Amino acid sequence: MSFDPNIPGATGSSDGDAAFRMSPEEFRLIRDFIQTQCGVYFGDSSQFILEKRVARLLRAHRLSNFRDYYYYLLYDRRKAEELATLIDSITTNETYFFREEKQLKAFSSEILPELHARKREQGDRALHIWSAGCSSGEEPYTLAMLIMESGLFRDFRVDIFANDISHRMLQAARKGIYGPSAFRSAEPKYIDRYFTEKGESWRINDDVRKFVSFSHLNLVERSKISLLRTMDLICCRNVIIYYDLPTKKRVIQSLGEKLAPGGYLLLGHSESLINISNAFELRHLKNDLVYQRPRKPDA
Amino acid sequence: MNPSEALKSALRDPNEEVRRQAVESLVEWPAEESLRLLIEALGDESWRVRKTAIDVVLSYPDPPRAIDELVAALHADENVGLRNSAVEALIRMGERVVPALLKHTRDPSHDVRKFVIDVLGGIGDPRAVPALIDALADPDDNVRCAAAEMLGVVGGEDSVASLLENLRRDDLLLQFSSLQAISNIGKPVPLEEIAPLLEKPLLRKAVYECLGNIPDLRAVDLLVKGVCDRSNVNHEAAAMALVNLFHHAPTPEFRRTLEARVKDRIGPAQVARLAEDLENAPLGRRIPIVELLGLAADPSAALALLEAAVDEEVQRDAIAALVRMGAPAGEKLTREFSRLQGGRRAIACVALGEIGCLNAERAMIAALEDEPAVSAAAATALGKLGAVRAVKPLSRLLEGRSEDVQEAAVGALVSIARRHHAEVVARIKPCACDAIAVLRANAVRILGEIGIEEGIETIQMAAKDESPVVRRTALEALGRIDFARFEEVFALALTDESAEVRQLTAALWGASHHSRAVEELAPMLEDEDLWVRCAAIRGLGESGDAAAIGMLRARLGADGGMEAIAALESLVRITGDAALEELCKALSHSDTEVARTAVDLMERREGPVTGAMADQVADLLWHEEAQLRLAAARFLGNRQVRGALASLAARWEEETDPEVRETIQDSMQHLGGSLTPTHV
Repeated sequence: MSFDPNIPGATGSSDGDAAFRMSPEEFRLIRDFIQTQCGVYFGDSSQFILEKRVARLLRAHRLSNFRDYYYYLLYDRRKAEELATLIDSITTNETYFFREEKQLKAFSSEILPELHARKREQGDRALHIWSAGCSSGEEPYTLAMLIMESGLFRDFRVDIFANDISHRMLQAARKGIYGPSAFRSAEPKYIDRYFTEKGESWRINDDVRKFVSFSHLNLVERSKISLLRTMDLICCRNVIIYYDLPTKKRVIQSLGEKLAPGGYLLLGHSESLINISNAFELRHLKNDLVYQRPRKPDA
Repeated sequence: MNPSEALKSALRDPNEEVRRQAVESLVEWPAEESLRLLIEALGDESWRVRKTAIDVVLSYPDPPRAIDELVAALHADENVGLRNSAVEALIRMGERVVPALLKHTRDPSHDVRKFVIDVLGGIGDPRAVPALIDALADPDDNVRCAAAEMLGVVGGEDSVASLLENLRRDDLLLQFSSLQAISNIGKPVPLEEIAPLLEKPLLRKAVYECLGNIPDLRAVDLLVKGVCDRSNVNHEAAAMALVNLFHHAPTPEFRRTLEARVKDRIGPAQVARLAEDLENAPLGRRIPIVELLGLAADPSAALALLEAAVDEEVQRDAIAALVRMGAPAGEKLTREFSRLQGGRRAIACVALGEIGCLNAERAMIAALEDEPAVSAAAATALGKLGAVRAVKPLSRLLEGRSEDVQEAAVGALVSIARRHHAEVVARIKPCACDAIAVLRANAVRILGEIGIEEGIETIQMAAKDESPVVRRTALEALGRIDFARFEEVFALALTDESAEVRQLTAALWGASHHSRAVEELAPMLEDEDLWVRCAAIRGLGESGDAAAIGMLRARLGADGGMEAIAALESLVRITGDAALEELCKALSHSDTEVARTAVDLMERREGPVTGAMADQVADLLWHEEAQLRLAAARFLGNRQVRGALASLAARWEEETDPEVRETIQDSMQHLGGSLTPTHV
């Protein structure tokens, strides 16, 4: 997830927004509500972004102030629907295929062979991966393509579980149709091999789609996460940066509980677990630094 | 003027409404004083006053006295209104008047004897049969005929012998009444006793009706001849009787022979006549005529049957008759198909499909482009015909204009796949990747219904579709195929972004009886969507797993009535009678629907009704919600809570809701209580 300052109105210059000014009290109410519902935290410096995003929703509902919108979120009979809309509008999900090349190189040339060897030794023929905060699906499909390219898991059962809190993103992910900007880092061979052209877009092929399953899951909801199976690798890139510290800790703890001993946790290149969790070891791979759950059981 | 004089004065008032109200007020008067006045009022010149008097006399607290007076009123030669009111009142009083009436079957007055017989017949009590048989020998014609007629009403096969004796007497009216009675009683009689009476034209109708109860092929022959009778009345009676014999045939062989004789001997002229009857006959006679035309199996009647089938009440039988006619009817309908319009085309499609007329295939395929009702009927017919050539045009209907047409196309393709699954799968599988969601969903449904292995991968992919409708359809299909095999898919589907998908999945988990069902459904109890939570609760109930009991108990206190109701029903499903404590607690839930559900569940319980339970439910008779009072009253009656009689009576005094009043009354009668005069 990321915030896009280039969205019209983000600088407060679009028509109609001048009428909507969020008071500090209103900012606090709506910010806290969002944080409770989905863990996303807007720091004080992000008030203007929240104001612009929510202003659009005020216009749509013909409300005159943010407090009324807050009450709408709390009491209206369509509040669940509105929450989904709110989440869609505050999360602008900038992503593309094969994002963060170094980390993906570590994934395909180092992590996958290690996992393969370990599983062969254990007689285990299943690979489980979780793309946490998958946005419009580029990340899980990328992982699937890399697994297929490696050729190591042809006789394995491969499940890539992908979740997001945005309905709009999940819909796009399931559809699997992407415009040119999604391929800015993709080598042509992947496009040829794993996509079918559809006019000016490309659709991901079924032989890739079949490995990926999408789900609407909020990473702060421990009860739902507890239902997931144990994973060999979790990708949670550029997600927790939007949480406050206590929420980050809770989310990382949940992810850790779902990781098999020796399982990998991949975060965004600018993210780290310092002050967040001691449950992981930092592995220095040739191509990148990654976190790993210790192979021995925790003391 | 003292009250008594005021009342008498009111009963003589020239204004009928004053008189009527005065009669109504007689319920409050001591029985001794009021009966005489009531009997007089039964003879009032105004039918409204007489009607009110009948209503009041029915609740008179000393029925034997009232009966005696009413029987005495039958002698009132000078007042026809009084006599008729007395007859009506006695009939409505029912079985309890029979012993008193039986004493008057030999009254010196033949009119009284006739009235007594009419009343006994109106009541229909079998205790009257011996007296009615005796009355067959009454010196008066009217009494004899009335006795014969009433024996037909009261029934009793014992009377048939006496009725047969009457047939030997040369008394046309008596013979007619006796024949009718024999026909109504329905017991087969010797053919030789009644067949000769066919010589008498006025008796033929009644004879045919009797023949309809004699399972004898000679009766069949006589009736087949009777269908050719010139008189419409006789022709129709013979037709009805033939159909009756067909339905009550003693053996399959008899039925087959009857059918063969009808087919053989009812010719085109009679078929045309029956078809004409069909147009004008009232409903009660239309269906037997339709059935007879089916037996006659003459395709010239096919269009008449099609026309009759336009009437929904006759439709099923008319189509069955066409099917019985078989291929010749099919050919006729196929030839005429292009000339048919609207509803008739649709019915013709149904009939052609049921008949299995393969020659109709081309016409049916063309009809797929017709208006929705015809298109749907044609699709269904093609399915029944197993028409592999229709696969392509049917597949085009899967994204069609109306849901009914889509539904019919799905059904047809599934039917065709039973014999030609390779062709259907080859055509349908690509549809699962179409751009249009409804087409994908229908394709998945078909593959799911066909259930072959080569379709499963497609269905699994559909479970990841962007459209929640397609995902739902895929999950339903996988659930039908093998839940356990796809349990991981169902586990994941509980986290779907669509509430409808989650709701369905919760239901599927419940129905699966999978060992993980409780574990998977537990978190769904906190879902944001009410319907999903309810589906999870019901799923836990359906799982039957005792591990769910604690979770269900916790939901009983849910703010939302729907969840509490679902939890209550689920708890009872798992624990049965052991859920008594929870049911009792729910009686005082703030949501009256929850309380009402608790009462209904208690009513269905098998265990005994405890004193505490009875008291709590009886208290609900005073609840402000009528529906809850009604449920409580019904419970107390159906569960035979005798101790509640006083509570019911007390509530009846004050109840204003008519439905609740009626239920209280029924319950009290069920418990052997009755309403006192003050309660009328």
